[in-house]
Amino acid sequence: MSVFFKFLTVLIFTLPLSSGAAFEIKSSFLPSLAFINRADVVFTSHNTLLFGTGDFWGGVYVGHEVISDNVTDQTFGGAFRYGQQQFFEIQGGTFVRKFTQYQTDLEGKGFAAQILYGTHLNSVFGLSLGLSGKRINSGMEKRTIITLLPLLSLRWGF
Amino acid sequence: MKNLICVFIFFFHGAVASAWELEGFAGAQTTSYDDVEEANTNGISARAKVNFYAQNKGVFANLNARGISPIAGDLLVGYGWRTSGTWFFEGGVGGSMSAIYGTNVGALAGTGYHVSNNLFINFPMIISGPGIFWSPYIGYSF
Repeated sequence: MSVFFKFLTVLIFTLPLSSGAAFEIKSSFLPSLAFINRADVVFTSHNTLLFGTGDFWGGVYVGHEVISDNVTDQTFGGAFRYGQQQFFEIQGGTFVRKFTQYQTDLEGKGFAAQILYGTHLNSVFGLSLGLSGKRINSGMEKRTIITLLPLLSLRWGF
Repeated sequence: MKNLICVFIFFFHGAVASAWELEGFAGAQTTSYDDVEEANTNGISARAKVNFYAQNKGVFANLNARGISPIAGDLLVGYGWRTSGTWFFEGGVGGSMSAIYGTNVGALAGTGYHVSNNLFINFPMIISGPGIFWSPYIGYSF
């Protein structure tokens, strides 16, 4: 287990115990299907495990996106949120894009970050607008990808 | 087929109410390459649906604009029905028009959730000339 994941494990189990902070799991996502001679499934999900009280929340972030049949994106890192009913959230970390086709397997590596502006409609449902930036520095052609996308969200916490 | 759609709308134009709804979503993406600038891409995709519903039925129009090309989109115009309640079901039939695929018979079916009196989330499956599309729509009743 890498030092990074050891640190996250310690953080997850000690922070709420030591601070009495509230705990929340949230997934902001957008699925989309298209059948035009073939099935195309696109799925974006940005998932957080946050601790905090009042307006300040922080914790772990995992992003998983199915860009096409051949391309998936994954991001592992942290997230910080300011606000309650309406909020700003920054998510970011190390980024990996995997491309698979026939005998070709490519893995582009870099970093990614995202700013969300969102609102909690009730204790479970929410809406967000996400502006994300991804940077691939190695493993594939170097590139920068900027995306603006609305997201639905589901959350659970106590 | 275009004439049929016009007749269809004319026939049901009495269902056009003063209240209307707008629903859909849009996204944009730009990709910039360091060493192969000719491969750079920019695109905006949008799916939008306008409902002129009165008592949960009426004329609707759905625009599917895909970012791969300005002419890749299609328009579905038809007549829809919706159940009442917080969770609702919706269906509709009509005709679709597309620069690439021409005119075709189309339909929609789905379910949605009223978050408040005005705000709702809809999950319509749109069947039109190019194929079948499904994605969540965020909607507002005016």
